[in-house]
Amino acid sequence: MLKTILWRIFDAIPTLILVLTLVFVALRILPGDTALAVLGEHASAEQLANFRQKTGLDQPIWKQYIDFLINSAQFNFGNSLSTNFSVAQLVKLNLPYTIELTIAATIIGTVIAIPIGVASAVHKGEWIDNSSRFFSLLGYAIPDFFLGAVLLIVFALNLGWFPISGGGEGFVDKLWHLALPALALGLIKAAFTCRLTRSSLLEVTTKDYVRTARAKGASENRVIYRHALRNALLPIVTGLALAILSTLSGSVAIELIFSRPGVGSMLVGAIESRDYPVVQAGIVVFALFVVFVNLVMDILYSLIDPRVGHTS
Amino acid sequence: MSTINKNQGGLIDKSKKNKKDISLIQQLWRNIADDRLTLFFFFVLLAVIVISILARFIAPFSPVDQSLLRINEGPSATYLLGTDQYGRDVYSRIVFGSRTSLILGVLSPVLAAIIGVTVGLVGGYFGGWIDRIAGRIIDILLAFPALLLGILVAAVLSSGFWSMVAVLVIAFAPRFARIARASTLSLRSEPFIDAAIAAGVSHFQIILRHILPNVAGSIVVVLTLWIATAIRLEATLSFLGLGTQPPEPSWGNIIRDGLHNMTASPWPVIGAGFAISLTVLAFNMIGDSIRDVLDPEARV
Amino acid sequence: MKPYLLSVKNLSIDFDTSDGIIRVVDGVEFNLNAGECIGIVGESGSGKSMTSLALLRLIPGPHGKISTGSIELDGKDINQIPVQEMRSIRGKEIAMVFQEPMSSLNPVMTIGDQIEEALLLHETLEKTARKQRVIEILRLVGIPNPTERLGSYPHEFSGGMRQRVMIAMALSCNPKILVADEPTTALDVTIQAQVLDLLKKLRKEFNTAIILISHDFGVISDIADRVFVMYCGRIVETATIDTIFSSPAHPYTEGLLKSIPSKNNLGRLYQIPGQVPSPSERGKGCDFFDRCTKQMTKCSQSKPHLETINGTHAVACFAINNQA
Repeated sequence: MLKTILWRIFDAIPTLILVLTLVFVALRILPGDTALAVLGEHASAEQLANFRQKTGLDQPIWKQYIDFLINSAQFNFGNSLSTNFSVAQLVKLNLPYTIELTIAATIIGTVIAIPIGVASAVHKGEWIDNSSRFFSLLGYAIPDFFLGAVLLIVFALNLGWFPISGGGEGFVDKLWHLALPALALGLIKAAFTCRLTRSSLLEVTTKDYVRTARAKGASENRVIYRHALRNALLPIVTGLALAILSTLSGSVAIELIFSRPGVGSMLVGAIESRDYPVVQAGIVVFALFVVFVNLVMDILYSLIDPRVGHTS
Repeated sequence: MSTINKNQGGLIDKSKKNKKDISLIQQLWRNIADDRLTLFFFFVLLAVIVISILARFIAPFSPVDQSLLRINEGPSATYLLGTDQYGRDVYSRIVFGSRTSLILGVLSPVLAAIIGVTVGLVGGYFGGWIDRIAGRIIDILLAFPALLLGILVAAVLSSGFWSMVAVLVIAFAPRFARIARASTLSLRSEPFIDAAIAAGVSHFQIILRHILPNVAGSIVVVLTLWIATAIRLEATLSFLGLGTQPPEPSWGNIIRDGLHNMTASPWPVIGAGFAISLTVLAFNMIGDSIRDVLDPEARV
Repeated sequence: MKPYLLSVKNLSIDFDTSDGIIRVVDGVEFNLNAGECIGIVGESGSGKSMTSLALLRLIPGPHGKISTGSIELDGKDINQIPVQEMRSIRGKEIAMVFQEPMSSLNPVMTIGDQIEEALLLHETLEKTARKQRVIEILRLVGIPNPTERLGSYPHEFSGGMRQRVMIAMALSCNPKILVADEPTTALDVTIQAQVLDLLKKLRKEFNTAIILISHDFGVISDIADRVFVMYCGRIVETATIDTIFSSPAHPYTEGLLKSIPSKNNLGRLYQIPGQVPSPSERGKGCDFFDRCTKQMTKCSQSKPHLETINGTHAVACFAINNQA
């Protein structure tokens, strides 16, 4: 078991390097002249040269690549062009807010969705199934930022129950600021998870071992919860990685709507103000997040499914 | 309900037998027409498409005309959804916004499909190192949710129509590639392909005649559904300021501008939000119907 | 006269499909005594598996249902009892072993837990006693090192071992009847023999009645006392195993027996000409009509019923019964 985990961690390293390489290609090779893009068309030659020297863009490409990898590993991205703060500091400040939003939204999304999905499958065709499917459908269509906007308008602006901006200080205050954003993200997530749970459970109930359980005289409840659900949860756990990641990407827009601090709003702000080092850092942070979440989910899955990673 | 006679034979009630032998399109129409909700959204979709094509004739005003004289007016007979903080007619902006959303939302997945299928098919068919490299890159790209990938790519590209197309294509092409590759791989291992090669049929012909039709099937199943996702993606990116730039209207940036002006006039946000939701929902429902016809086993 | 352990009368099962309502089992009747072993032989689609599922009321709904008939266990019609009561019968009075041991065992539960579950549901033993029982049964069915293997998962066993586990699970509560649906089909020939030997030994030890379903006459002849041959949902012939082999009456049975490869017949394998009609192709006449060598005009008008020719030997065939 430990061996499998270690092997997976080990195997993630080349993936990490490949991801960083892709990011590097995107950053340096795609957009053309970065200096021009950042400083604008009217910049003088001197300003351009200055910029290039400052950001290391005048070095040969292979050196840039090595520097990039090393810097990423050390988390050294230089200083923000607009505020001159260390970028690493900026990220450190913003990251916790994004993480708490992602976790809160994922919890809301799964804790609500899975029981409803189960009930939906068990009572297929009845009112609970039909209404949950309807809400799932809505969740697929309504953009999360729109839901966030509506929640903001109704509960924060009009009713004043929740704050209209900021991330809050201290545990309770943070929760208060977290409520609406997490709800907006979480409900949309719930729509997906609910549907997935339902279809996964329905598929499992047609399997042979469910028939065997019935043949033993097990009650329907036992069949569903002890036999079907355990197996149905497997694809849901796989989907969990994607769920967390898509919650992460949704957080960007939500942070904007609720004027919340976070890596997403940091990135978008930096794009607007053409704060190149911060943009770089933002992309790398997100990319690292993706690799990390996938890794953790891989390991988790191998722990849950006895068939995986077993030396037979 | 016929009475069951012991000697009547295996098939007792034949009334349903004739349903099966009709073409796919007819079956699709049956699926759509039979369910009132789906039918409703079919017409919604039709309406959205018509509106986007005839935008110039349907919208009463130009979407970019500003005027300080009529800021933030409420809905009226002239301005159906009122005006925004720049004095622009919200309704017209939403009507014109449908164009951006639909063009980008339909064009990009189609392009992504072409590119993705080519990569996936070639990789899957010829195998070897092409497949290994392409496969690895595709896997990595797939690990990113489409939105995140979109944001990251938009971050490095300048804004503009074709940049948006590029962003959306990069977000979706890997997904198409994976489907095409899986389909190709399973077909490639069939003995009849080897037989065809041995008989001297060129790779090109084999791909064209045997592999492509099958791959096309799996692709069509998801295409409509991913158009819905693309529309949603474009809206989100525009909302973030990474997509269609003002003053060119897109449902996403209408919400963005509208958000800063919420207290004065909520209509841009509400109107554009509804427009997105309805359109995405419509594409989803039709997409589901298409999938039910082409791949009934996927239905739950 | 002692009542039968199991008495099935006029059992019919219908399925509601997109082509209409199909009768997959049509008027099946048979009796079973305690400790007896009967075999049900037929090709795929003959309705034999459905018949066995019906005994436990496991017909897959909502499209399938038992439309007529009674299933009497010790004189009581279990087709009519409430579901709660049926559950106490499943696994305890009647137990079933399925064809595919890999997919019939829950992949994420240990085999120890799965066998224990049957005991949990029907017996009142406390934990240690249960565990002991499980170990005993595993030993009985021939699983080596049962105590260590309690925590193993199904995928860690070979096919033959998995089938033994299934048998262990079925026999854990000492059922009166064991229904085995193609228990050896998914296994190698040598393992087949082992499993059949196991069944025979267990039957002797516990006096369990066995209903063995198979398409393979060889398997049936190894263990069954009496045989029922099914075709297109109906029983076309029944006799003791010896009689079936020595004097088969129905043309279908004859054809089946002729097509068994044997070392005495090294020429081309015999094939019954024609194909089994699909449910929608069945008409009001005998389903074997198109393939039969003894056709008469009567055969295409109506279906023959089972009639006794000689003691326990009965046949559903106009041609045979006319002579009798």
